[in-house]
Amino acid sequence: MSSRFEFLGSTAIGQYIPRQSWIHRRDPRARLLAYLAIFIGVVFTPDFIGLGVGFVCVLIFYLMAQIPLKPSVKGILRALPFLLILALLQILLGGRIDTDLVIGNILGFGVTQRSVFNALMLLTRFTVLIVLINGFVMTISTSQITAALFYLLKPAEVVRFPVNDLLMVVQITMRFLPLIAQTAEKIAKAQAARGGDWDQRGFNPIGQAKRVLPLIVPLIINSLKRAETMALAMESRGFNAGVKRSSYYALQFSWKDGAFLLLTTGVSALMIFSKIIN
Amino acid sequence: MKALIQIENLYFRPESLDPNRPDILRGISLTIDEGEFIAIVGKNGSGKTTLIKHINGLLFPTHGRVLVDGLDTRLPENRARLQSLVGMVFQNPADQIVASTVEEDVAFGLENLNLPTSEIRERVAQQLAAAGLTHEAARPPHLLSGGQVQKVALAGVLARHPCVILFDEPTSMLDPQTRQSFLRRLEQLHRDGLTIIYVTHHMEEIVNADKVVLLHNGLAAHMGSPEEIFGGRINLYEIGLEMPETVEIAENFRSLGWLSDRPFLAPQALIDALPDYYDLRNHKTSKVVSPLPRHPTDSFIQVDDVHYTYLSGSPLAKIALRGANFIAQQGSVSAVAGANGSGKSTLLQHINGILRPDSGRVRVGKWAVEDPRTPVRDVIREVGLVFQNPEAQFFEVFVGDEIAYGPKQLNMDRLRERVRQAMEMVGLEFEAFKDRRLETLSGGEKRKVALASTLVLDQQVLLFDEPTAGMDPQARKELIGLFRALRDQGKTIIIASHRMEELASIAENLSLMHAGTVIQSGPSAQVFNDSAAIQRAGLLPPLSVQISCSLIEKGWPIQGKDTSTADRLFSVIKDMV
Repeated sequence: MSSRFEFLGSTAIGQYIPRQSWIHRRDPRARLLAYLAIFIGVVFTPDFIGLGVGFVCVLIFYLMAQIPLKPSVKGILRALPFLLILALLQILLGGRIDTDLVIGNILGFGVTQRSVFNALMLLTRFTVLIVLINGFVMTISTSQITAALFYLLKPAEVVRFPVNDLLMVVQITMRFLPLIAQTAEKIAKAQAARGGDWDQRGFNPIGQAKRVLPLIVPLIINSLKRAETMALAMESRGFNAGVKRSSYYALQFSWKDGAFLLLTTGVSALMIFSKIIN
Repeated sequence: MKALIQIENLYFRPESLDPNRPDILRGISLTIDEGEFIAIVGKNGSGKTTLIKHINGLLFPTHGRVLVDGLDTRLPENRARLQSLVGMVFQNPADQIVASTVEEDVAFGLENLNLPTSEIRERVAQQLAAAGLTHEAARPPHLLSGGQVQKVALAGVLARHPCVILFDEPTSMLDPQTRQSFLRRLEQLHRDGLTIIYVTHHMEEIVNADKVVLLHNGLAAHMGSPEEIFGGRINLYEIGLEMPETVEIAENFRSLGWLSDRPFLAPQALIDALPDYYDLRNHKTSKVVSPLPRHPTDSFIQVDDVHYTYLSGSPLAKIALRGANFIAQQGSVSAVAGANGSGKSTLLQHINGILRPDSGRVRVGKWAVEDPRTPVRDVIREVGLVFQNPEAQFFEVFVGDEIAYGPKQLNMDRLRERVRQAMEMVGLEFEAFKDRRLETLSGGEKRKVALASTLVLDQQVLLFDEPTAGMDPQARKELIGLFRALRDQGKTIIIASHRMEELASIAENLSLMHAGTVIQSGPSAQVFNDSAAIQRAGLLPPLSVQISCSLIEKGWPIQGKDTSTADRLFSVIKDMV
């Protein structure tokens, strides 16, 4: 039984699984951009064929990267209630034009063929996206993301874009998310240990919100205190904003990375323009 | 030797400080030579951390000045040079880690020096190897143990090749064996020529220091070698400190006429000086009394074969309990000892129902806690839990509200009266403190509020998780006194800790945990003597037991005697000579 206090489990960050797979060995820049390409493809593809191509592509990712599908299935199940509500809203409130074929009636709202199609598209699209994003966080570590961004954004330094500061913000955020989850867990437990009502009784979003809201202020205060200590720790290890820094990672972009990127971009284009190709 | 750090007539007063309060530092002068090991001790709030933060320029003097290698810390142009000369390791390991993997965090300080990637890689690999962390290089720091995180922090500082390292209570979160290996590493660094400035609450850690500085109310009350400081001429208790335990035990033995007048600071020196039993054979011998085995009559708390995994089913799943068994009688004081990560906290959280076991049984009085149908709140009415570092979990603004949270949740009557009683019990005056804002309290006062906010519920069973972590000696003594008072009220108390000396002074029963199971359990007089099990649990026996083991090797027939505290050891020995 998983505990009701395990907030850490619900954050996607920090779920990286180190492996020596072909996917894991690709340059982080190539991985980041490849995921971005597929992501764009899934978001903008107009029909099921495109989504199907995307889904197969993601499954191939999983196989090649040797990562488990189970956490993603769990993620889908967790999101399902919200997705269903969204889909229902789409069916009921989706815009209608005269040529639409009305196929039924719920609570006085006309249900059209097109709105049902849109709702199904929405469900499938989000499902594929969840699987994709989970795959993403399992195959690229936060430090690889920052390293990739470091080199990808480096050209922007020419126009005085504060790349270092931005990356530090990204890095500290990534570091803080699991800490905040852990702190939330501690405060929730402290409340429960003193009689606070943390018993989960079925699906009750309002009760859930009532329990989580009082955590927010202490969490912010706690995080600020932590940030203060961390700022001191950073300063005492010589971090000065605005001073040139180097990176622990020297990235090497090989022809395999290029091929990988080219291939995923191709698939993405295929998804987006699937209608035209048909 | 060259004077590396010069602190001249240092005063410090933060701008935000209440005008009625005195300056935090009030005229400290101190010279530190290159390669010296300086220990700074003093009770909570005496200004230790404030003092060392002046050495690496995190704080600037209000009056006076601080020079490091001739550089005035106040001048901005000296800052970069100062940062590379002086490194600092903070108290809470987790708060000083910046990056999201171990190797990257060690690299952080080197990236700031703008070193080429190849050199960063080389230095990181070197430091990880020296710290024994090579296999953890790619792991996220929030999944490491406290001891490992402290090693990462030190590696990150050492990678920058500093001349001086400041340590701010670095061992307060570490268990005994981890702490010992940390101290050994420290000694190694000192031998290698690093200048070390070390703040601590634990006197036994600094008996090898070159110089000890006693801070009291922002003044350097005394300064001298450990022999001078602990030689007995200075009343440490008066300023909220204590003698190293070795000194206290040596004092006892000296009264038997055994030891010369020179001070004994290190345990080994004392052990070597103790006489063989052979030498004293003409003295009377006493009969060996083995402690009576006690049979549990009424197990008020019963934990049977409990298994628990955090984040089960996710890639981060971590097994915390693997079939733990534990019992406690009503009105008893039990201790659960184990290294960090052995499952102590998880076990406690099963006893008050915050966590429910994956499998196994938990009984508290009439409640079947493992049954999801048992409401947690009903268990909470009987069982209170004070978490580790409870002051980090405050969620109200005012002291009174924080303490009243529990009784309000449980709809208790006489709210005001209850809060008043709980506050008085921990030594906080009701009228003076109830409307204070929590963030204006000192560390010690916050800890008291946290204790009061559980005691106010007047539960029958009280669980304490690492209650003395980060406390100064006087506060620790007060807390042990509070435990005694609670025991005398008939409460059932369970304390999880790795501080064996403290547990020995209060616990009737002791359970040792290792890797998610209880590996040994029984009356504490027996379990404290089981050195093998204690070692296996990643702990060290209390000093008095270590000494009694050496005495047994020297032929003393004291096997099986209760020597778990200095006083008990002394009375056992006194009976024999």
